[in-house]
Amino acid sequence: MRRLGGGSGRGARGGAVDGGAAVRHGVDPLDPMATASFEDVAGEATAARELEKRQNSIVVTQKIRDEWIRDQLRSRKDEFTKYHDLKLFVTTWNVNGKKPSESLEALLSVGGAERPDIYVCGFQELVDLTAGNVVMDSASKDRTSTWVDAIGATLKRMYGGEGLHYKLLTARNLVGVMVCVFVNRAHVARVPQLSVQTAITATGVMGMGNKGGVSLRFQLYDTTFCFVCAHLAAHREAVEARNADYRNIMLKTTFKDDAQTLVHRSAEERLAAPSDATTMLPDGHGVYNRANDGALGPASVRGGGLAPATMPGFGAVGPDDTDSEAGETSAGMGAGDGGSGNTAGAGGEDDMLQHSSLNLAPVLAEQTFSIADHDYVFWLGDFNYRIVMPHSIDEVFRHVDANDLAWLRRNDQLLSEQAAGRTFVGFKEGEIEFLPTYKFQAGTNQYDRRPEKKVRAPAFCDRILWRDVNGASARIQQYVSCPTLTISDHKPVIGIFEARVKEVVPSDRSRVFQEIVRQLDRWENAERPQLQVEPQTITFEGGLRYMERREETILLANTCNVPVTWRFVPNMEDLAICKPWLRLDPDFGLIPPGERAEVRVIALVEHTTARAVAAGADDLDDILVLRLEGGRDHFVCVSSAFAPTCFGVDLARLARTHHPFAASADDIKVCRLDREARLGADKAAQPLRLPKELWWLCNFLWNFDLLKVSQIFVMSARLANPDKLRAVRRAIDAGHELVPEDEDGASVTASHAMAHAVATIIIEFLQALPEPVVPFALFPRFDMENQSMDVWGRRFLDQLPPLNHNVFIYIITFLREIVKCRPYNDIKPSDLAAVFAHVLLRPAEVLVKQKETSVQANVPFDLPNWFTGEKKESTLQHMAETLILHFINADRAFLL
Amino acid sequence: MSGKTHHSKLVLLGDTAVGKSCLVVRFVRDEFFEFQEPTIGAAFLTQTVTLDDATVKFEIWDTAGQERYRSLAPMYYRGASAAVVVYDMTNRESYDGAKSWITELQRRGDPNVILALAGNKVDNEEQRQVPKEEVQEYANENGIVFFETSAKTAQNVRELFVEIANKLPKTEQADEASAFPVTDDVSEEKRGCC
Repeated sequence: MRRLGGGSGRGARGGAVDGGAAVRHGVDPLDPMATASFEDVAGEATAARELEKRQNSIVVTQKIRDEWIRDQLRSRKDEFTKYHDLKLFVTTWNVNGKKPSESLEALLSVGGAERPDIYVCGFQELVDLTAGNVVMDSASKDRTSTWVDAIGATLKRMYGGEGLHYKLLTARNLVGVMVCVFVNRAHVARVPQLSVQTAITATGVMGMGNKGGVSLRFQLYDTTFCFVCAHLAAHREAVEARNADYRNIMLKTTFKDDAQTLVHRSAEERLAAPSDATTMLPDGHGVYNRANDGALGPASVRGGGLAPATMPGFGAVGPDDTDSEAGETSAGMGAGDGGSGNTAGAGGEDDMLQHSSLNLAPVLAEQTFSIADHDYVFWLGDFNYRIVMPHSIDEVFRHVDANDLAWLRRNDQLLSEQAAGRTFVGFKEGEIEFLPTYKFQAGTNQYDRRPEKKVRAPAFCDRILWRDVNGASARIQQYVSCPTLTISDHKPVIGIFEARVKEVVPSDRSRVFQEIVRQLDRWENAERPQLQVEPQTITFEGGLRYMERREETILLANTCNVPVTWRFVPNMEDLAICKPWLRLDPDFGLIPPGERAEVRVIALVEHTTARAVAAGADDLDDILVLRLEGGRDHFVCVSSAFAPTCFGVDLARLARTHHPFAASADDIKVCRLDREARLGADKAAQPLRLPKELWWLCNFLWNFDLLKVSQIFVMSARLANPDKLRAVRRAIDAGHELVPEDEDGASVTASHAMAHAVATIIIEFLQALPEPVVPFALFPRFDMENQSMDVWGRRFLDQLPPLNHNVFIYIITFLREIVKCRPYNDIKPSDLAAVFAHVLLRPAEVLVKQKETSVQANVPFDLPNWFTGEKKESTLQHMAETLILHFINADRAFLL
Repeated sequence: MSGKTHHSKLVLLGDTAVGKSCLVVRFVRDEFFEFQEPTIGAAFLTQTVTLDDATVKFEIWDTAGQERYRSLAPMYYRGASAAVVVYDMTNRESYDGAKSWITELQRRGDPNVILALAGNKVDNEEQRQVPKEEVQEYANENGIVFFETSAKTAQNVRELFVEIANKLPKTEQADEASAFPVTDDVSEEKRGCC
């Protein structure tokens, strides 16, 4: 059974709950009845539920909040960040397949006495680029070791301490292209081991490694570095091929986030991720970048295409992009955007995030990151850019011989292409103050002009470029070549940098973080909805009386700065927001700041509650829970005494109670003594044969000849005046005599009004009995028309318990008297039978039902359910009426 | 100190006038009032605690301690991931009350709820009625976090909440257990049944 009538019922607990829910949800899409009936509807309901979950998810809200906290952290990063200026030694050398047969000290000591913090050495053509070497890795691996060992040994020699000063971070080669990094021991502990990763990208024909790039990344303190050592396409005319190689390496190089790095990520995240851009993780990095550009979606849309985490950044270095500055910025942004939303979790939240308005989707793509996702990106290598065509070889030699660096720079392919936005967009390079590093005659410091060899125009093949973003900043201090090394046809190029790295101080960061969240907490708590609630306790002075409505008011005043949405909520065990004898009007609302509202608390004890109280099953106490949405709960206690009354008391106790129910202790005593004096102690103690209240009421009508009043009982409920009803109830509880006069003296009108009131109270009194005069067990169960009514009626009377029998006969006799007055009161016996049938008899199963409906409808004098509608119930009604009518019409002898 | 915030509904329970509200006010606002009005209802406040490896946002329900409201307590401890039962260490009766609260929570609360006992008013040592050792033993037997606290001097107040935050499982499930809609869910569930 689905409860109807949201909130319409009087003091209806269930109703009020439904009403509140309807207000919150509008049309209820999750109607359980609907979902039970139709599968498709169930499907829709599930979808609706899902949608609602997404729309109202606290998880998403929380992510936004977390994001705000991170933004705050970033904006205050100077408060917890230390900066270190480190010296970087970066060199690139095409060794033309040679072994390190001469001392490298001249190379590694470029940059002066101050020891570099990092050595980065890139090589090309460690081995001859024969087919065998390209396919088989062993020769180049061996040669890599040879060179790395040579560098290590040289550093050891230069700085002593048995190699204690530098540690090889890692080395990686792609055929003859190799990069290795040595870090000063002082900083080794500040390089998270798992942050050290390498990647290779071959760009040669058929993806062969004769050309391509080796990339090496790591984090130092809280700054990320990526070094790309590359050997790009050769030959003077192959400018476009070189540009393409650059783009390919940038695009295709990804550092795979394997299981190991995932571990690393979570471990790292604790320290680094929320800190700011300094992390090398794609997520942290992205968040930082996002903060810089302040925009979310567009960049990633622009990037489109392949891996979303890496693509966007390279949209910017593509051939269409001609503005180098814009290129730089958007490269940074784009990459950042790809990684934005680093807190986006896995699992169940994924789809939720995709549907949220934030563009968190890229996070869900494969967790890889690219060259651009670093604070520092260095490119070093033999990029093979030459002097622009069509200057002849001789012309180039002339300018070289004349040391005309300005002319050489002006005609450098790399600088031209870069200026045109076709390559290395966003990268910086030191001013070239050295002569072309290619092509030399090995063993000499002479350009190779031997006619028997292929003569090449000298060119700045070997270069070092860099990019710094996210507050990283490097200054190049020296940009030189090292002519003293002669084993190769190239000279090495060296860049000495001062690079700023960040160090997050965890304790400072923690302090700032706490300040931020505490501030947020303070705001949230200060702006929580608040109401002043008066009073906190409601007592109905003098107690509640049966069927006498009382009303008190709760005042709600909004004393805060936000509108307050409030409602009464049921407590845990209950469905309803208050007990059935209470009604709250209204039971929900919204109060703007500074305004007030009133809640009427209406109490009415009708027969259901009276029966429960009489049986000791309930008392008139309740605690109302007033909930402010997003704020606190207020409790309002409602309590009252219940004035003693005969209503709701069972027949047996009514019979045992000789004194009026509302009598004082003294009066009770007087009553008892009086009875004992009249009847003797033994007899006085015996139960009454009839509840005295019923006798008083009926006797009143009889004595004052009021049975003749037109339509008495039949119309009384409608004609009775509430004041008179109250007076009659009070009189029978107090034991006061009922009088037909009012203050103005006797009048026909007044006595008729009184008659209707008394008649109504008789019905009310019978209705309030916990068990009707005809016990539940004796309710006629089968169709009486099939048997003799006389036989059946006789057996029925025999089965009534003595007290019930007496009361029943008394009432029937009384009804027969009314019928006798038909010439005056114009009452049909069947009308009278209809009125009394449903208070003298109630089927037991209906009792249960009726209890429920009274909770909902709670209207006194409402026809019980079994008198309405349903066929089965109308049959019950018919049987009851037939029974009563039979007794009304029967011979007098039949009743005795 | 992850960027991710874990949510935890925390409820304070205990007899009247043991200092539940004072503890919360000390924890959240770092204030103390000698005369704190009795809580008629349930105050709601939030406070975030940062740990080394996590951030926990407590959604705190500070409940009414008066006996007449006891029947309403389940509204607040239901769905809570942590419960702090407070007693007044200068009042033996309130400790007996605390133990009955613990029993009720063990019987009717969430099976995974983190229980904590706070013996408040420890600044008032000379009037102590409940020996610390006795409570410590009880707490150990029942696997309950135990601190003697003083809302007045702030002693152990933050420590208490940090310890609870440390003990909370940092899972997604814990995140989902948000404090607000507890009774909503209940009423709606029941609403559907008839």
